[in-house]
This record gives sequence, C-alpha cells and structure tokens, in this order.
Amino acid sequence: MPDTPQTDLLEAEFTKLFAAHDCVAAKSDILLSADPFLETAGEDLRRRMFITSGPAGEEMCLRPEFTIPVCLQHLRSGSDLPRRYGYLGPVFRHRKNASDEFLQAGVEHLGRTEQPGVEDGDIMAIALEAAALPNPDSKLTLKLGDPSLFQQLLVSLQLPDSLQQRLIRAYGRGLSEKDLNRILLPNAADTGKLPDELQEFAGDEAKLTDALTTMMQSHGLSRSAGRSPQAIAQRYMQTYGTQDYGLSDKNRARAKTIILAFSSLKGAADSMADVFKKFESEHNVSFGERLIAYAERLSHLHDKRSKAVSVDLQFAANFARPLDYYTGFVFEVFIDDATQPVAGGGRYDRLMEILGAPHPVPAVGFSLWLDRLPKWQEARS
Amino acid sequence: MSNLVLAIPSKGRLKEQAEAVFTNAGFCIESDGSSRSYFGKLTGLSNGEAVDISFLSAGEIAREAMRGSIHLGITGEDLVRETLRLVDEKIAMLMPLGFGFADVVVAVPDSWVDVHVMEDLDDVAADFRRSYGRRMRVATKYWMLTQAYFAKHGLGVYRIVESLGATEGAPAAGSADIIVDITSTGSTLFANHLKILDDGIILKSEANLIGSKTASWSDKAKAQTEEILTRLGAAKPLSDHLS
Repeated sequence: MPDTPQTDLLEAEFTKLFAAHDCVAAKSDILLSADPFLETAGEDLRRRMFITSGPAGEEMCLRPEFTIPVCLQHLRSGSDLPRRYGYLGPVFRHRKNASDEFLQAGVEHLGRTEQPGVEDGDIMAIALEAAALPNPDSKLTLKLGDPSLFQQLLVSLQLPDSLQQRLIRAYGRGLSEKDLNRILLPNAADTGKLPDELQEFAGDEAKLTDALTTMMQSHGLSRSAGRSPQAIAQRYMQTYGTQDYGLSDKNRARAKTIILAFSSLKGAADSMADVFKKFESEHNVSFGERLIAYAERLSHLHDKRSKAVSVDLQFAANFARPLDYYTGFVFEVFIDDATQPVAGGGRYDRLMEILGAPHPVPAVGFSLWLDRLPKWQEARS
Repeated sequence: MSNLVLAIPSKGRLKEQAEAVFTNAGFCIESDGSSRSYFGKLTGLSNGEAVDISFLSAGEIAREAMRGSIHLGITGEDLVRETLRLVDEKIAMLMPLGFGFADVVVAVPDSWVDVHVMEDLDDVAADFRRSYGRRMRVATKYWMLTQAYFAKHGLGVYRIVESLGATEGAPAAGSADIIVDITSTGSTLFANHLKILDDGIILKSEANLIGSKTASWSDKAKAQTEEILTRLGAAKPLSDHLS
C-alpha cells in the first residue's frame, strides 16, 4: 500500500488547485512501455524501475514518474500549445527505507505563453502552494539553481566546446575540484595515440576520415549503423589532434579558479543579483542576458506566489541535475527542517524533442512527493 | 538445515578444476549414483562425517549462496558480482582459487581512434542522440556490472542491449556500438576488431570459494568449514568473514 492515505481528500484538494491554475487533468496508464524512460533518462534509471515484459517480449514498466508519460500523451493527442497539465497518482520505484509505491502530484507546462521567466515563476508559485496544501503554517524553503549561468560562464571563459560539454556534464553530477583537475588539466599526450597504420594521417582530418572509412569497411562495420568515420576523425582532431586544446597553463588555472569560485556562490535568492554583478567585475567574465532571466523569474515568482505561505528563497550555484534534457533553472522545495525535498522541478526544453516532437517545445514543471508531506503522512491509517 | 552444503559447478573445465581443489587437499568427492547426478558427498574430513555436495551451474551457485540454501560454493567472482547488488552483505569471498581467470572489460571498435578512456566514451555517449537520434547501445550479459561501472564514471545516457552469446560480434552486426564482456586473453576481442579502453577493466575475476552469510550456520557446519579452509590454505578463517 502507498504511504499516503486520504486519497479522496487529496484528489479534491488537487482538483481545486489544478483548476485554479488552468491545468488540464493529465491521463496516463500505470503499465507503460519502458523504452521512453530508458531512452531519455538512460540505463541509470533501470535500477530503480519495476520492469516486466509484454506479450511480444517488449519491456514494460510500472510508471516510475509522470513527466515523460504526460509529454508522450500530449504528443499523441496532437493538442494545441501552450497547455498546462496537472496530475496525481501512484508511481513505482525501488527505494530504500520507503515504500516502493507512492503518490506523486505535479504540473507540466508545455509550450510558450509569454516570457520563460513568467512560466518559471508560475510553476514555482504553484509548487509552493501545493507543498503548503496540507499545512498552510509550514515554513517552506525554496532552493534555486541555474545551470544556464554556469554555461554562460564557460562561454565567457572562452573554453573549447568539448571542454565546455565535459564541464557541464560534470557540473550536473556535482562538480568537484578533482573533476576540474581531471578535465581542465588533462594529460592528453599519454593516451590518444593513433594506431601505427594511421599515424601518417594524424594531422589531416580528411585523410584520416578516408583511412577510417577503409578500416571500417575491412572490419565489416556497418557505416550506417553507428558512428561515422567523419565524426570519429573530427572528434579525434578536436580532442587529441591539437596540443592541449590550445589552452595555455595560465588560462587553465584561471578557468579553474573562477569555476571553483562560482560553484561556491550561494545565498538568499533575492540578494544574488548584486553578488553576480560583483563576480562579473571581479573575474572579468559575463553572465550576459542570463542575469535578466534570473531576475525575471524571481520577480514573477514574487508576483504570483501566495503571500499566505512563508517561504525562504535560497540560491545555490552548485545545484543542478545530471539529466541532459534539463536545460535551464532547477528548484526544490523543503518543508521545515526536512533534508529531503517535497517537490522538485525545473525547465526541460529538450525533452519533448527527444520524445519525438517535430520541433523544440519549451517545457517547465514540478513533481510533489506526497508521502513526504508531514501532515498527510502522519494521518495515514 | 544444518548440514553443511557445498556447491560445485556441474560441468566443464570449471567442474574439473573445482574438484581438483578438494582432491589435492586430500578430500574425496563421490557422486550419488550416475555421473549425471546433481548430488554428491565430500568425504575425508577429520570427524569422519560427509559434507553434502550440490552440483549446480556457476550462475546458480551465486544465486543460491545469496539465498542461503547453500553454505559454500565455487564460482566466478564476475558471476557473484553480476547476480547481487549488495554482494558483501550476503556473500563472503573466502579464497581465490587461482583458475578461471577472466576480466570483464569495456571494449569499443578499433576504428574509434578518438576513444581511449571512459571520459572519451562519456563524450561520445552524450553526443549520440544529437548525431544519430538514439542513445549509444552497449551489448552485454553483465547488466549490473555495466550499470555500476558506467555510473561510477558518470555515464548514464546509454542503452543496454542484452546479449546471450557472441557479444563480441554485436558491433559488427550493428546491434550495438560497444560491448562489455569477459575476456581471458583478449584474442577474441582482437579478432573482432575491438579494443579495451585504457581504464576499461571493470573486474579482474577468477574462481573463488564463496561463503553464504544468509545461510544458517550450525556449529558443526562452521567447524567443518574451518577445517576445509585450513586444508585448502585460505588466508583467513571463516570466523573472520561471518562476524
């Protein structure tokens, strides 16, 4: 049994909340094809999913979360955009020290209404309202992160694209100084040598491509099925072909110092604008228009949020998510002194395209772990 | 169940080598009835009593030890680590046996001249969707080892294609881009134009005598095991493992 009782009461409360925020009720089966989840979130999610097989041997799973099924359902329906969906229902994941079946509710906003900052602010306001539903007197903390600031910082540092991508991925997983040393101070000379028979093509991308084409043919590798000779030769030239990415030791050291300094930035979200400006002038870098987006998001959150709920807004520069479809800001909501968030969300402008949308669809949303909301949890029979 | 139960691989070279471990130490292995029997006895212990033997497949031995239906078993470390998520809570590696050597490795096509370490693979995997419209595919029968090792290197965006044989042929066949497989000499990989990443050795495996931490251990079973371990030349007694 899920750790959450009073389902009728919950449904009534959320139906009201969704209606007040123009959310359409999302429909999703519990038994779903596992493929879209594994294809988007990757194999890492498999360990936490309940997987079974369908009659034709296809992999099925019990719904591990709502965002992907809601997006897929939207694509199948061919409905207009923008559209905002609300959902409530059980999800299933292997968890330690907690029930594997639990209730989640949430909102997904698909498509563009006005400015991204308006949608972002709206979504956070609804998440706060939802988190305060069982107990309006709770003291909430909203933790905000904005990986787009980090991305802009890397651009501003003029790092080569391949290094930027590595840093962004490491950042999503929680960038440590060790990661920084590994990525920024690599010892490319030790590895990356071409096989002897290809040595003569080391300096020439076109010739290397041709040589690789011949090599793949003679090895019986299908050129249409996997990585192309062009892609391999191109990445070889970028990664191992130029000495040390053309970055001087001084620039590497500077990048490391600045990235470390940025990662440690945190504080009251409303006071960060000054901190960012000071950081820009101190380190001679620029966050560009990302600062405007940051300010807009916050100001819309202040406009929209219910003043009846007490909220502490905190920013942490090192807060990000490892999934590659999260593209912009991320947030979590905590109640009182809890260490686990009751809600989590953010912007995932790349997800709809991964799931088969013909063009990019901006999207932002959140999920609420109902079994972590104290009052409803305590009231369980 | 208090009688000590020892599981030995039921066929092939692994069976011969496992039996030799005991016969070389002065024990005797007797099969019940025909040579195809699944049960037998280990004799030659100092108290004169026999130990029950179960002949199982190497994969089953790891599973049964986890469930506690056998006390001791001989199987490859790769199979133990592939079968169990929290190995050390349920199974004790009592002693390595010096045969059945094999490495579980990450291997990519030779023609991927830009890929030498896991970090390169992470770059390539991250770019796969944008370039090819799908995730990078990994052929393997070692799901758990692959997931754990890739996660350790921060690699999450890939798909596992289950392979139940001839994994090394998957890249050429186009059913996967890279493989995680077992190799002892590397010659099969070489013949299939695959190379092992510089940091691509997931596990250096060999046959081990394993002990179940979930089985019920009578004093007699413990004493018999201590004698077996001593005569086999184990570095540490059972009592060091079970506490």
